[in-house]
Parts: sequence; structure tokens; C-alpha cells
Amino acid sequence: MSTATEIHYLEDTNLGPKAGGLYRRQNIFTGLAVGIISGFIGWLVSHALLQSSNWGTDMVVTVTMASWVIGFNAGMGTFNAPFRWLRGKDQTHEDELYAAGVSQGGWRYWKYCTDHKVVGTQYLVFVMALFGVGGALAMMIRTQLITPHSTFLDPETYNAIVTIHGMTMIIATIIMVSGPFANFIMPIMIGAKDMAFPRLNAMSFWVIFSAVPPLMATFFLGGVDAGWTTYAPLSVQAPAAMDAFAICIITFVVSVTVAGINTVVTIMTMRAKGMTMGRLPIFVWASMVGGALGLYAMPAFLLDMSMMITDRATGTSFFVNQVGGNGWLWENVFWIMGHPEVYVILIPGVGAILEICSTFARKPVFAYKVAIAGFVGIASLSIMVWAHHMFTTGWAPLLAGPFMVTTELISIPTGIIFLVIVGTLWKGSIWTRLPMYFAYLFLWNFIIGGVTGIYLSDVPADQYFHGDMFVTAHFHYTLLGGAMIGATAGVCYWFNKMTGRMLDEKIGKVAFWFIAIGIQVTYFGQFWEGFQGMPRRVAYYDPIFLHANQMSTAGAYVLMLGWLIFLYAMIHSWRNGEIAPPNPWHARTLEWLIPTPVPLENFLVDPVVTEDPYGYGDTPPPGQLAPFAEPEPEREPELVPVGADASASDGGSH
Amino acid sequence: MSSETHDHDAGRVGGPEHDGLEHAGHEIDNYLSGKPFFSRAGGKIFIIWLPMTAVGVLISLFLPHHIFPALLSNQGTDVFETMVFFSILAAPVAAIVYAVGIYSLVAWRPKKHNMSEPPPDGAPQRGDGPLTTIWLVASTALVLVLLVWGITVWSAQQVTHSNTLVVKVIGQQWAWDFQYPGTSVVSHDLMLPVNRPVEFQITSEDITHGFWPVNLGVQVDANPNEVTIIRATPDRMGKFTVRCSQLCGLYHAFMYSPGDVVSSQQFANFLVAQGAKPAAAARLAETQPTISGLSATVAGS
Amino acid sequence: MVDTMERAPAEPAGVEPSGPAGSRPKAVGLIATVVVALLLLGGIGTFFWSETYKSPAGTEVAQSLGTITYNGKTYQHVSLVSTTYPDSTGVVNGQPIHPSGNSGWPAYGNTNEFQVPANSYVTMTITQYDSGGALNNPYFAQVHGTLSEVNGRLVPNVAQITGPNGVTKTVSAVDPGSVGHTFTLRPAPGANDQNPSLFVSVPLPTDTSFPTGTTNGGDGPGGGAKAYTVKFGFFVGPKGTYAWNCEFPCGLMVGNFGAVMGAYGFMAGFLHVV
Repeated sequence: MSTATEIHYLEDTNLGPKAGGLYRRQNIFTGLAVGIISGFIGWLVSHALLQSSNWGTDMVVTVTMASWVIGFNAGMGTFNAPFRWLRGKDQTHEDELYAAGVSQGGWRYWKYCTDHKVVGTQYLVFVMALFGVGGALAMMIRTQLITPHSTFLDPETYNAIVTIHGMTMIIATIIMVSGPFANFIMPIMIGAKDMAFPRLNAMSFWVIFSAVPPLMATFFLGGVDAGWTTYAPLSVQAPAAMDAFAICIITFVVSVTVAGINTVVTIMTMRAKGMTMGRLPIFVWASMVGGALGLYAMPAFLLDMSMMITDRATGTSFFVNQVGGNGWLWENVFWIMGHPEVYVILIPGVGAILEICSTFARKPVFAYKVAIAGFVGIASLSIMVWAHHMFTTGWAPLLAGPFMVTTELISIPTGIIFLVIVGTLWKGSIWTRLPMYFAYLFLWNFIIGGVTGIYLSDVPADQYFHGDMFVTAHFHYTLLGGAMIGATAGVCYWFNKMTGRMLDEKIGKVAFWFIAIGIQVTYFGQFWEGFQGMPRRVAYYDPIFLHANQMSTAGAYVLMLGWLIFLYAMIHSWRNGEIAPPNPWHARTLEWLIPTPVPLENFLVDPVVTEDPYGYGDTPPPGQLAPFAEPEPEREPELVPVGADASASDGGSH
Repeated sequence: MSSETHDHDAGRVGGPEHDGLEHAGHEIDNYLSGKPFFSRAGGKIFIIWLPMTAVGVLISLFLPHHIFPALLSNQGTDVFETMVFFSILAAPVAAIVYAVGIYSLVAWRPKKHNMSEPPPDGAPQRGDGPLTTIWLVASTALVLVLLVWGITVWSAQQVTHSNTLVVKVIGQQWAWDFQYPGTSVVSHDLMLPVNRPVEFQITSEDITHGFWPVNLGVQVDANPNEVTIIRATPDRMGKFTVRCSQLCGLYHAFMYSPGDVVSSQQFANFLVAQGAKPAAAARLAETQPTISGLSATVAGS
Repeated sequence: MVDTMERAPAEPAGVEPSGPAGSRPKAVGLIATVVVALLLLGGIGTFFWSETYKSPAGTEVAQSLGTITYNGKTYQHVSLVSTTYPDSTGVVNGQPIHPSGNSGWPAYGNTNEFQVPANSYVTMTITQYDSGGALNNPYFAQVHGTLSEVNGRLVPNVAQITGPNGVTKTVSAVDPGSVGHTFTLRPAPGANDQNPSLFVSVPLPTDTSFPTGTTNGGDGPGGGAKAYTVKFGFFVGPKGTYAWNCEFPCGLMVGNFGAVMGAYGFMAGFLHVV
């Protein structure tokens, strides 16, 4: 075995004093500064020119928020490279190394960093912060609902909180797996050195980062009182906060679309030698299907919100029935985004769960190809089911039948997921480490979420349950109990690879029990409310729902405590945890075969894949890859600058 | 599943064949020695599954009686029956997943094993056997049953009746009012005669609301400049609440109206008290003779 | 294999390794995390609680007028007084009508919160200074749910309206084309299950509905229309929060129910029955 001294790590490269160009001077503080200045200029200009017009406030808010987003990203460095191209120049090799975080230490986490591992870590922390905000808002809601006629919040504030809780959680859940894990882990899993478009990768993070301040600004602009679905025409009637909300969504869609393209292209083009599509880890398939589905779904959201802004700020009337538009248009376009979107959230989480089940049952993923077919089947059907959200809107009653058919058909590919999980556990050799706890919790919750879904897919039953707390409980079981628990399992599983330290399982298991019990109590309370007929999104309710609400609130506090303990487990382990070995789970996917912490560009020697990663039970575990393997001389580590022409990277002379 | 003994390598490319790997538990040894795979685990899981299914079915049969409010119409009965029927169908499916999950934790978790090291590998099943097909066929069959049920119930609800009482529903931020065409009555409370099919014609003055007479088991949105229609036949007398099921702004929570299903005589009295002419009130309140719950004939039109 | 790794493992986010696991009692950190989070949550809660509108004039507690006997039962008789202003930015009795009032937004003043005893009879007097127009739904031009005292008798579904000319009429409806505001009251869901349920709605007319010969001369604060005084009575039921609002579309955007109509504290408030 070679010793580490022979290996050249890219991150140890000495860069010249000018490497990186403008990137050297840019970080989150310049981003914030330029963003705030730009937003202020946008406000000044629009206030001077547009305030007096009919829709002045809406125009001013729109322009100000858009200026913030553009300014922040300019300040971060999103536009550096495109501007260089416009000036006929290109990024040099050293610039690219600088952008990838070389020689910046921990500071690179605060910069426009193209290293996929840095982006993944940024996403992880960002998602946790979003969950913190969304969770705090959820606690406001549950606190208000302790008593039927609480005076804690007034109805206006309550509605604003309900809206932003929903949207914050939607943003967080969409990126909770495709952000941290599809960025950090997925490229390593396929044997790639980075994502296909590293700069777009960094952009996707900082763009979504800039989308959140407008969302929070809604609280200071009157609050969006229309719920996260922002049904028109109520949302056209809403205060100017709705414009900030729309800018947030448009920005968010740009980020998710860019990230989706990046994921799909990376998997299509960046696989290592021998990594055929049939040998891809199941999580990679899930990421790809989720990313592709997002590419289909999310642009509809952008379209919807753009029309919303023009309706509000320029007096078009796409959605206002009274002047020739129609609210059903909003609902259709929204759910054309909205239903695939829940599978954009869910599928990568399921992929993580399957990966974990395989590792901790010490068995291959059961019926691998059928599982892929299940993902693809879910994704394909999910674009044809949107109108089940509109069974009770009165739009096209004749279509209730066809949409009931497509909606119930989707339970067939969803059933495959259960088959695959159960089949993977079957006669396994169950290693009950923390990730597996969460995998079992996923199984438990997702069955409940799935079964309650079939009532809602049935039109006659949906006529009772639509718009009531039963729906709320159902989708929290699927999205929180299913997808988010899947993401949590992913955190437990990949935490050591991402941070270099083992997650403390003792604290983690305490958190697990709080979370597991909290979910059941909270959402069974809400099922109960739903059966009794309590509508969603009400700040005051009939005292007949009192006990169900108190049960739900009590559960919510337990759940909150659980997440806090889990948060502490992460913070504690990140700071003081046991140093992680490269492969603590003795798993076989590629990310476990390289050292921890993962060096820049991941593989010092290009891996060659000869089999799928699920050979448990019949092939010996693979050995570690570089630097523990003998590097072949002709495979010296080399950097291929992205965007540069291939000849420029010739050699490995550095 | 024993067929997988020989073809578990199918679909894999590369990788040296390796014998003598350590496997978990004696059941795996059975597997390797070619004994039927299902025998032990299958029977035990069945023993776990059976009571779970039984409990699920019992809950499906009895719990809805206790948690639903009084459902006062034939559509409400449909909701109730659908809940019970779907729950009974779902119980064995959920139970099989839970049973395997529980059994895996009990039986397939190596005892006395150092948790910091992985247990020996499990059986290298790739799932190329018939199980997938069985699962797919079974789940498709279940879905078809759900669909046949759903579409049958749904189309039965679409039948229009003669002698239908028309009630115009107007939603606005944040109140409902109900008009009874043929009279001048406009009311904040929704009164309905029992056993008389009713057609709600719903619209809104401003934005979208959700008209949800909870205990009648129907709902549809009230959209501005559109008239949406739902039908129900109240078949039991009792009070209910009309709630708004679509977030409609500031006082969404306060947008509700009391409702009451009353006898036709009480209904006529109500209309007269609200200012209707007695003759018009009597005309609106009259019901056809009911035969075993069917209160009207199917309209030819 | 692992021990050949020579690079420092502590790389992420600039966090220095601070010793082996357990160098600090976990319980301390855990409790600290929970306490910090609860403090943050409390802070956020306090923020939203302070964001909720509280009238600077506080809650108007009903004045007692003695008792009233109706159907052989004796009830407490109380009175409430309120005013509608065309502009919430004004100042009345040294108090701003609304501390965050926008120019052009009308408001009820001096407060939007009222308090009355449970199971009592309330006589309410509202002085209406604002201009108006047509209702979205003529239903709200009618008087609903009142039991107003007229010449010593309680008459259902009427209100007494005194125009700018000083003439008082007892009406059960006004012209739906010229309403300034309405006072529409209902209990919170389930707070009052009497039959028929409490639902009080009284139109507050403006100029054209009462041909008085006066125009928008501006005897009211803010230079609005001449005042109309609307007096009506109703019985409240058991304890609970009752919500009132205006059903006249005096806001902006769709249905003119945006802006001021969607903001709590201007054209919407609570009647606390204690």
C-alpha cells in the first residue's frame, strides 16, 4: 500500500495570489450587502416611478424583491463567469480551483463554492434552518389551537403564519434530500468527481438562499392570508405580501429547476467506467426520477406565479372571475405543479430508505428493477392525477371519474415500494443502528399515509374529507412521516461521510422515540378532527373539536422536543463526535469506499465498477479505493476545468 | 421463492463468485441447503398477521360509528360505508407489511451481536421470483375493487330526481346565505325538509369559498361568476353545520351557518316565518311518498 | 486500513475538534439546546403576539342600563357605542383611531373590541360618518337577528336609524345601493348553539338612502358624510368570542374585500361575551 505522502491532494494546491479573480472578494456578506443595496435602489426607483400608478404598492414590492434576489446573487458571484465569457475571457484553471474552495478552509462554506460537497453541506444546514423556521411557525399554529377561541393570535396573523409554515416546509422538503444528499453523496455514488455543472450547483444553493428573505418579508408586508396553495382570486385580493411570496416562488423554481437539470445530467453523463444504469445505486435512480419530475412540475409554478404577479401588479385578469379570468385556471396550473411535487419530495427520500434497508438488512435491494419501475411509474402517473385536488371545486365534474382512476392506479407503483422494503428486510440480518430505526418508522408512517390517501382518492369520500383536517393529517403522514423521516434516516446514515464524525446514536435514539411518538399523537389527533368535520386553516373552532386539537397540540410539542434532541445530536456530534472511519456501515456503494473526509474531486483514482453495490451475501466486500489503493501512474489526479476546453487540462502537471 | 436459490445471480454483471461467506441465522442455512424458504417465517408471520388484521377489521367496523358526526343524508351514508369498506380492505395489506416489519425485528435480528460491527450478511435474494408478480396482481386487483366501488357510488350520486328542492347558496366573505327560489326567503340558516332531494346551486360574491354542509357528506366550492351544483337527499332529521372548507381570508373560521333537517311541516313553517307566502311554502315543502328510503323517482330528462 | 489515513479528519465548516466524545456532559448541552430553542420559540411567539392587533383604546366594556324583561325572564341590559370613520389615520379623543392606519382606510372607532356580559340584552348605537355605495349582496341591506326596542316593545329584525336631518325611522331594510358599512356579528363556531343561531347584521346607511337634503358636508371627523345614527338591540348567548365585521365592500382588489377588509382591527373585531 502506498502511503499518503505520495498522494497529491487538490485542496493542498498552492494558488497564486490572483486565483479566483472576483471570487476572492465575494462571500455571503458581499452578497447580503449588494442584495440589500440593490433592493433599496429597486425600491427607490420603483417608488419614484410607479407608486402613483393603480397598482403601485404591488409593483414596488415586486421590483424591490426581484432587485434583492438579483443583487444578492451578483454579490455572491453567480454572474462572474458568464460575464467573463461576455468579455471574451474564460475562467482559468486556478480560478476554478479557487471557486472549488481550495485554500479557503472553513470560509468556503460562506462563499460561492462549486465543490459539490460544500454545496451539499450548505444545503444540509440551510434545510435545517428552514425546518427550524417552519417548525416554529407550526408551533404557533398548534399553540393557537390549544383552546377553541384563543386570543394568542388574531385571525390575520394566524392566516399569515399558516401560509408561511406551509411554504417554508414545502421549500425545505423539496430540497431536503435533493439538496444535501443528491449533491454530496450522489456524485460519489456514481463515481463522479463533481456534478456536471458545478457552478450551476453553487448557483442553485445561493438562489434558493435568496428566495427565503422575501418569504419572511411577507410578515412585514401585511401577511399572505391565502394558505400555501394561494388560491386565486383570494391571493389576488391579498396584501402586497403576496408579491413578495410570488418572487420567492419564482426564485425558488429557478433554483430547483437548475438543480434538477444538474442532477439528471450528472447521472446521465458523469458515471464512472462500468457504472451502467443497471448498477446505479437505487438512491441515484430515485434522485434522477425526482429531479426529472421536478423539471416537469416546477415550471408550472413559475408560470402560475408570474401570472399572479401580472394580475396583481398590472391588472391582467388570468385568475379573477369578475373580470374575465377564472380561479380554476390557477387551481389547475397549481396542481399540475403540486401533485408531481409531492413525489419530487417523496421519491428521493424513498431512495434513501431503500439504500439504508439494504445496508442494514445486509441484503441486496429486493427487486431492484421493479423498484426503478415503481419510481418511474409513480412519476409518470403523478403527472396525470392533479385534478384529484379539484374533485370538490366544481370544475369539470365529468372528469372526477378519470382522475379517480389515475389516482388510485398510483397506489400500484406505491405498493411496489412497500414490496421492495419488505422484500429487502425479508430474512435479512437486521442491524438496528439509528438509520434503521428511522427506516422502520418510515414504513410505519408511510402505510398510514398511503391508506388514508385512498379514502381521499375516492370522490364520494373526498366530498366529506376535502378541505378538512383529515387531509392535513394525511399529507403530514406522507410528507413528514414518510419523506422527512426518509431524509432524517439519510442524515443518520450519511452524517459521518458528510462531517467526518459519527452521529451520536444514544442521543439520536432518544430523539427517535420522541419523534416517532410525537408524529402519531399529533396526526392521529388531526385525523380525529378530520372525522369530526373540522375545516383546515381555521384559527377558531367549534369546542366539539377540543379534545382532538389538544391531543394534536400535545403531540406537536413532543415532536418539537424530538427534533430539538435530534438537532442537539447533530450539533454535538459535529463538534465532538467520534472520528468516523471511511465505511462505518460496511456498505458497498462507492461513497463508502473513499476516505472520510472526502478529498476534493472525491476519487484520486478513477474507479472502475464491475458489479452493482448490493452483493451482500455472495460477493466479498470491496476494498477501499484511493488513497488506499495503488494509484496507476497514468491516472494521476487531474482537474478538468469545467467549461474549459479539454486540451487545457491536459497533463496533471501541477 | 425457493426458485431464487439458483437464479439469484441473474441480473448481476461481474463480481467474483465467492463461497463460504458467513450468513445470519439458521434460517439462512436452510435457505442455502435448499429447504423451503417460506416454511418457518411464513407461518410465524401469518400468526402475527392474523390478529393484526382482525383488529384492523374490528376498528374499521366500529370506530367510524364513534368518530363521525351524525350523517344525515344518503351521501353521508356513502361516505360512511366507503370508509368502512376501504378500511377493511386496507387492514390485511397494512397488517402484512407491519407483520413482516415486526417479525424482522424479532427473528432476523442477530442476538448477542456487537452493534458496532455489522452482522453477517443476509440471504442474497434479488427478488427475481414470482413474488413481485403476485404482489402486482394482488395490488391491481385491490385497486380495481376500490375503483369499481368508487365509480358505482359516484355514478349513483349523479342520478337526478324529480321533485328536487332547489336551494341557492351564496357565499361571500364571511357568511353564507340561502335562497329558496319560489319564495322571497333569504336565510342565514339552512333549513331542509327530510327525505326530499335537494339541489344546491352555489355561487360566490367575491372569492372562492367551500360550501360544506358537513353532515350531508357533500361539498363543492363556491366560485364567483360560476354556479356549481351538488345534490343530496337528507334522510334523517337533525342539526348540522355548514362550514367553509376553502380558506377565504380573515374570518374563514367564522364562516359557517347552522343547518337543520326538519319535517316538511316544520320546513313550511320556517319559510312562512321568514316571509314566504303559505302556498309557496307548502309547495316547496311537499315531499313525495317515500318507499324504503328512496324518496324520488329517477328523472327521465 | 483506517489507520493509514493521515489527514486531519476535522474539516467541516471550520469547526475545530474539541476533544473526544463525551468530554462535556451531554445532558448539559442537550438541556441548553432545548432551552435556547424554547427561548427562541418564545421570542417568535411574543413577536407574533405583539403583531396581533390590539386597539390603543382597549376593550370597550358595555355600560349597564339596568335590566330588561322579555318573555317573562329578566336579563341584564347593557349598551355599546361605536363609530365608523372614513379614515383610520384620524385622532379621536386624543387616541389614534388605528395606530397603523393607512390613509383612505375606514375604520370602526375608538376600538374594535367590545365586552358584554353573557346572556344579556345589548343595545348598540353606531354613528356612521363614512360615505358608501352598493353592497355585493343586497342581503346585508336588511336588518337580521336584532330585537330592537321600539316604543317600549322588542321588535325583531328592525333598527332605528336617525338621519342627518334628525328624523328617526324604524326600518327593516335600507337601500342596498347606498350603504356605508354594516355591523355583522356571529359567534365563534359552536359558541352559541341556540336556535335560530345568533346572527346579527345591521346596515349603516349613507347619504342617498335617506333623502335628507344634506350632502357630504363633512360634519364627521375626517370630512366624511353627514352622520347617521343606527340603534338596535340583540340578545347575546353564553360566554365566548363573537366576531363582527363589515360586509360592505369598502376595501380594494377582488370584490373590494382586500386591503382594509382583510386587515384585522379596522372593519373587523371581536365581541367578548364574558
